[in-house]
Amino acid sequence: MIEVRNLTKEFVKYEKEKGLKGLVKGFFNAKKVVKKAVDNISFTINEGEMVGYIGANGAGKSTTIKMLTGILTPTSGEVRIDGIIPYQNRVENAKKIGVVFGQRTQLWWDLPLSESFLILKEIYEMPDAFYEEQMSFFNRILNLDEFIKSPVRTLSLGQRMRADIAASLLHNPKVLYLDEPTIGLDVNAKQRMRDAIKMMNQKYNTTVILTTHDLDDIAELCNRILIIDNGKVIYDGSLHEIKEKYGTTKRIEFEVRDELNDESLNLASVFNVHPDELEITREDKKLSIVFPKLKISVAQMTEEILRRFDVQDISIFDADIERIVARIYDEGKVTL
Amino acid sequence: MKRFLRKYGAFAKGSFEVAVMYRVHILLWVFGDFFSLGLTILLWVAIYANSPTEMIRGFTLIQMIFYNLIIHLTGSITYMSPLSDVAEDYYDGRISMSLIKPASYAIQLFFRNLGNNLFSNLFITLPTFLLIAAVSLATHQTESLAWLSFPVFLFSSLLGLFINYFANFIFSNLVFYTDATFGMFQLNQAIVRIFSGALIPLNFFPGWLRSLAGFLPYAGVQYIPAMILLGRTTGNDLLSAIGVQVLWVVFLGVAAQLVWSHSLSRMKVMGG
Ligand SMILES: Nc1ncnc2c1ncn2[C@@H]1O[C@H](COP(=O)(O)OP(=O)(O)O)[C@@H](O)[C@H]1O
Ligand SMILES: [Mg+2]
Repeated sequence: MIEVRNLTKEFVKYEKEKGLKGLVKGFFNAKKVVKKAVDNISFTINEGEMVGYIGANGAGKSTTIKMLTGILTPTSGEVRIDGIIPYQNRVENAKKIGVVFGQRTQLWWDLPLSESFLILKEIYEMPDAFYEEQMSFFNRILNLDEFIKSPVRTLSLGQRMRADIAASLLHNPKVLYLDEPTIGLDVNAKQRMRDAIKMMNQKYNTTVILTTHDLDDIAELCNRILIIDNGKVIYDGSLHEIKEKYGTTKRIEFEVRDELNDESLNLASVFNVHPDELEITREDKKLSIVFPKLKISVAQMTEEILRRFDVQDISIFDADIERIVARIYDEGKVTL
Repeated sequence: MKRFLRKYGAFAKGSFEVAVMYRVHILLWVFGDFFSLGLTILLWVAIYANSPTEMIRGFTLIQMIFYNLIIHLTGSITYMSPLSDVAEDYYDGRISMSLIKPASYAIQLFFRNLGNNLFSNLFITLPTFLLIAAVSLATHQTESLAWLSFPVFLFSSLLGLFINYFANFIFSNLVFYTDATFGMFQLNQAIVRIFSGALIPLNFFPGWLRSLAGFLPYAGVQYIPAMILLGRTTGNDLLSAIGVQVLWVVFLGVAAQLVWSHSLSRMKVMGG
C-alpha cells in the first residue's frame, strides 16, 4: 500500500551573519547550510493499518507527510502509494487520500461551512447520493449540524477540527494522513476525533498515518508506531513491544489514612538500589512510587509500604508511554 | 469538458461567494476605480485644451475619451491577479491545502480568479459598458465605435484574459525562487500598465518602445481588443491581431506549465 524506500529530504538554507556587515556579506556569499530533515528512511504500511508517527519537534514528521502526499519532492529515495509516485503524479494520488494538517484548514475561511462541503463534492466528483450518505454519516459522528451554517472563521478550534476531519474523509479516501490533528483540542473534542477516525477505519479499512504529541491518541488508535528522531526512523514496531522493553518501571500509588510528613522513606537503601532509580512523590495523602520492576517486585514494594503506613487504597500502573518515549529520545536509538 | 467545468467551477463559485461576502469592501474599490478613470479623462481634456491641434496622434478628444473608457472596459473584462494569491498561498503555507486536492494548482487558481473576475464584470464591466453607450449616444458619436465588431471584441478580450492570467501566473512563480517579491510585483504591474496600453495608446510610443511592446504579450491583453471595438483594427489586420493573441495564449500556456513543474519540483512548503 505505502512503500517508502531510502527517502531523504534536504533543505538548503543560507545562513546570514547578524548586523549590517552580515547583511552585506550575506548578499554576496551567504553560508550554505544543508539540513537533512528526513534521512534515508524506509518502511512499508499495509492497507488498513493505523500507524502512529511520533518524534520530537523538528524530527521530520511533517516533511515525511508532505512527501507522502505529493506536496514535496524528495531529494532522493522513493515513495509509492498503491503503485503511484505521489510527487510525480500528484493529482492521481490526491483522489485517493485525505489530509489534515492540524495547524491549517482546507475549509473556506469566509464562507458558511456547508459551502466548503459542497465545493469538495464537486472537486472530488461525488455523486449526489454518495455525498448525502457521507454527510449524514459525519453529521452523526461529529455533530456538524450544530454549526454547518456558520462561517468557518467563527468556529471554535474543536468545531473547526471536526469539520476539517469530515472534509478530509468525505470522499472516502484509501489513506488518511493526520499531522497533529488533536493539537490544542480539549479532552472531549479529542475523543470525538479519535472516534471518527476509528469508525472510518472499521467501516472502510482506511489506512491511517498519524503524527501526534498526544500519546493517548496513539494508544487508542494505533497498532504500530514509528519513532523518528533527527530525520531517522529509530523504532518501527508495536506499542506493546516497546512497552515491554522500555517499560522497565512500575508505578504504585498508595492512599494513606493520615497526612504524609516529610520524613525520609529511605527506600533506596532498603532495596539496595541507587536513589536515582526511584521516583517518589508525596502529595497530601497520596504517595506515588516509580521503581525498576526487575530489581524490586510489586509485592516487595507493597509489603514495605503497608508495613509502614495505614494504607487505604492501592493502584498499580505500567510505565506511561510518555516516560518510555522520553527515554528513547534521550538515548537517540532503540535496541530491541 | 462538462466534468472539468463542474470540478473547477467549484473554485470560481467559492471565490465569487467570498467576493459577495466582502461586497462593501470591494464596492469601495470599484468606486476608486471609476474615480481614477474620471481623473484620467480630465487629464486628457486638459491636454487637448492646451494642444495646438485638434488631433493628437490620430485621436480627437472624444476619441481619446472613448479609448480610455474602452481600455477601462477591457481592463475589467480581462481582470486576473494571481500574483498576490500565489504569494499568500506560499508564504503562509496554505499552498499545501491546494496541493492535496486532485486538481491542478494553476487551473484552481485560474478559476479562483475567475470568480473575482465575474464580480468585477458585474460591478465594473456592466456600468462601464452602459457609460460608453450613454456617452456615445449623448455625443452623437456612434460611428466612433465599431459596434458590429462587438462579438469579435468579446472574443479578443477573452483571449486577453487568458494572456493576462498566464503572464501573471508565470511572473508569480518568482515567489518560489526569491524572497524579494514585493518590489518585483510592483515592477510587473508598472510594465503591464505601460505595455497593455492602459496608460496611453501604444501608438504614442516612440519607435523603439513600440517594437519592444511588440515582443511582449501585454498588448494582447487590453490594447488589441480595445482597438477592435474602436474600429481601428479591421480586415486583415484584425485577423492577424487575433492570430497574435492566439499564439500568445498557446505559448504562455505551455510556458506556464513548464515553469510551474519546475517550481513544484523544488518547492519548499512553509510551516508544519
Ligand atoms: N521549508 C523549509 N525550509 C527549511 N527547513 C525546513 C523547512 N521545512 C522544515 N524544515 C526543517 O526540517 C526539519 C524537520 O521539520 P518538520 O518535518 O516540520 O518536523 P516535525 O513535523 O517533526 O516537527 C526541521 O529542522 C525544520 O527546521
Ligand atoms: Mg510538524
